[in-house]
Amino acid sequence: MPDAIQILLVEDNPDDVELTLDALSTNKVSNKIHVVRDGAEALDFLFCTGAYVGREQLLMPKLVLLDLKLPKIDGLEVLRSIKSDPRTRRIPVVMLTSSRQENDIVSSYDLGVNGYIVKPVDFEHFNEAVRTLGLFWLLINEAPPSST
Amino acid sequence: MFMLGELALETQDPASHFARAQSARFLNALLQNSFDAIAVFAADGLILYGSPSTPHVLGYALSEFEGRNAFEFIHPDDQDGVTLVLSRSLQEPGVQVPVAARVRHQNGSWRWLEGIFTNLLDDPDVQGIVNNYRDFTARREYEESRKQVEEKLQYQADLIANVSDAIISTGADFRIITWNHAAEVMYGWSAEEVLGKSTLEILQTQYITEGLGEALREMDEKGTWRGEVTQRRKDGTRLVVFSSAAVLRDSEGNVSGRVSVNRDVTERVVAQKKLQETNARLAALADLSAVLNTVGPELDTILETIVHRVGDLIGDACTIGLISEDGEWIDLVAMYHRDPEGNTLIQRILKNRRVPFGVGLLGESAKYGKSMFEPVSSPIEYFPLISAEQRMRLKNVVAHSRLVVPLRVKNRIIGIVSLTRTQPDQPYTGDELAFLQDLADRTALAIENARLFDQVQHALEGRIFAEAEIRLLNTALEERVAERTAQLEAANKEMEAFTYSVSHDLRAPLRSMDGFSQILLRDHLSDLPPKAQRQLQAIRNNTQRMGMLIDDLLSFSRLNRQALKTQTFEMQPLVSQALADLLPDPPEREIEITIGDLGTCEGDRALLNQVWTNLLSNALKYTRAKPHPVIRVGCELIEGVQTYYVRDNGVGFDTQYYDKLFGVFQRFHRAEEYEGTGVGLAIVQRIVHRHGGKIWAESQVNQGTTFYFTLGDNGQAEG
Repeated sequence: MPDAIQILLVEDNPDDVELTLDALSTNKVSNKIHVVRDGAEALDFLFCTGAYVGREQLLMPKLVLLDLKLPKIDGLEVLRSIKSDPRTRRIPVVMLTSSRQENDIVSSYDLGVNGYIVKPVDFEHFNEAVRTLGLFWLLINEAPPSST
Repeated sequence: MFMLGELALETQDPASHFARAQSARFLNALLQNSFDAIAVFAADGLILYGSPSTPHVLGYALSEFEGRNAFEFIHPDDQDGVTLVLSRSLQEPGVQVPVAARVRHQNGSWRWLEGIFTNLLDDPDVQGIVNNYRDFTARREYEESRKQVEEKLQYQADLIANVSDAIISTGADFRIITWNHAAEVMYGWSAEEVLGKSTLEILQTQYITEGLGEALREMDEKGTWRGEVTQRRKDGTRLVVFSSAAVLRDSEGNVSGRVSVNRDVTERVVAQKKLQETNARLAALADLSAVLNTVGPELDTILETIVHRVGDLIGDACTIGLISEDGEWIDLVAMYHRDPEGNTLIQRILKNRRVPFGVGLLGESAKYGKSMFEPVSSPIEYFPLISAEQRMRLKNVVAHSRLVVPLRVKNRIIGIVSLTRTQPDQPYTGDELAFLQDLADRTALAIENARLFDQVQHALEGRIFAEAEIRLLNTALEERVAERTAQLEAANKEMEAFTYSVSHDLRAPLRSMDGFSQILLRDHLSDLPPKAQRQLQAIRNNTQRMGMLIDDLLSFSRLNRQALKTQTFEMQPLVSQALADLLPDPPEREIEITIGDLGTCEGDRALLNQVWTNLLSNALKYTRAKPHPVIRVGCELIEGVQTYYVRDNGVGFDTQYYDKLFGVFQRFHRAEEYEGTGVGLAIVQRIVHRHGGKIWAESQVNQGTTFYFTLGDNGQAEG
């Protein structure tokens, strides 16, 4: 049984993926990160469909970092799917996005998001934010028991 | 008879005659054939003797006659008369008493006898009453008939003299033979004056339906003529006469003269005419009232209708003038002449002309409100208006008699109606004046009504137009509002999409630039020469600055779309908190800051926080170079409006660039001196404006700047 994925990063921008991974590794949050590049792939991963048929359904990530603006299925739709499915709704989802749009934030919380981080332009601030995020959700926060 | 005999004797040879007289036979024959007879009777009437001519006169033989009583022969009706004569004769012996009576002839007829009674009862030779008598029946009948004829003639003469009809007889040459009393009265000529003169000269008869020649021909053919004519009186006036004429002819059938019986029907005709006129006028008034009610309320139509009707009815030209608005003129607005040529002329001459108020017949009538009457007139009043040629022509058309009446409404005079008669010898009458005034009063009312109607109509039209316009504008406005709203909504959506992509898509590359720059600096610092390190740092600075610009721009644009969340709150704590958030802890430098009493305000707390934050951060920023920075925040009434201010003793700015102060991305200082995006004041101004307030600044370079702002004129914020 492979190691459980700790973080699912949903991000279409490869630069952002690299920077996010850099920040996460710099802060030694986790090296068990799976990256998907759009909303559809994210859902396939979580629900073991499409390219992820055969993935062990019970091995859920401890955290989903979700970009808002995504190809195919956007972040809010992914969030809605996660939060409306009993299999996934307990997974903490943190929006990691460039958008400061109020209605995006409000919609996210309405859909049950667990955190909302506006990616700062300043990379130092971004590092700081990712570090805090990893600490809280992976180390401090008591994760819900995996459903069987 | 004796006289006659004597006369005869005298004219004949007296000797032989005498000799014959001696003969009894001669005498008897003479007596027998005499038309006279002698009877002698007693006092009681007994006939004692009848002369030999008795049978010749009365048809009786003497034997049938003598010895009878005379009264047996006398007509019963005459007996009393004869008795009377007889008694008188008895009383006066010797006196001759005439007598006349009807006596029965032997053939049964009654004969008128006249005689003379002579009482010779006392004469011893006679001893009786002698009646010398003769038959005068024929003469009496003649006299009777003659008397009857005379009476008849007298009666006829009396008739002719006493009838009220003029009876005129003329010879074949029209010379007057008979001219009765009525003719004298009727024509004003005495019989003496006209006898022997021609009726053609005296009466100047005009036949109404035909000419003189035709009338005479008809009279001669038919023998009579009856009909209406006009004839002249001695004073020149003309009478309307009903004439009944007959032709007289001699035994050979040639016209010997004419007789006419003429009755003066002038009064009847005049009365009839007057009645007709009165009826016509009453009808006209009624008609006009109806017309005025039906022609519609247009003033022109009313005016035209009136001048036509009045012109046709009374004649000949009718003009209506209305007093101009300034009261100086009488505008001739409608005119009509019932003669087409005259109408053309006066239309051309008078249409759209004006005569001065108060001058002339029209002007005076209008000024004094009185009817003016000119029995004989001249067109002088119009003369100044027209050419010499027109003047000449006008003479043929205008004015033998004129009437002008004012058009009165209540006590106001609005104009005049003028009538001009172009026919001679027919001056206007009082009746016509009264009629015209009556008509003018109605007309004036109609004109006034028309004007009022006009005004109301105009007002209504104006209002209707205005209402329609307003409706149109409203519709257009609503459409525009809807359109604009749709546009705005679309623009907002676009803007949202735009800002979304700005906030998301523009920041991502910046973040990458910054991130990779930093990773380079972190992981490969030792490989990089100092210049490259500095340049990488410059990339980082600029990406971060770009990030701020984007953030500021977004928050500025968001201001337009955010609804104000108005509440009432204490201003001072808000300012204190904003200041505390700005100041580093611990403080880096000493700044003198005072916050006065700011009272309560009404507004969007979060937005006002932004205002204070921006203004205070500016104050802090631009006092940075001052050794003793001073910042004062306060509130005062300026022109009755609660006005907040933030005053600093900072670097200030050059007021010649004041109009750029609140512009987006407008900066007064170089970036390396004072950081900032140039959006802060634009945001402040927008928030203040959204609260209905104003913002302005005073500044002196190196002396400091004061920003003032209000939250609406009455301190009330936008809802």
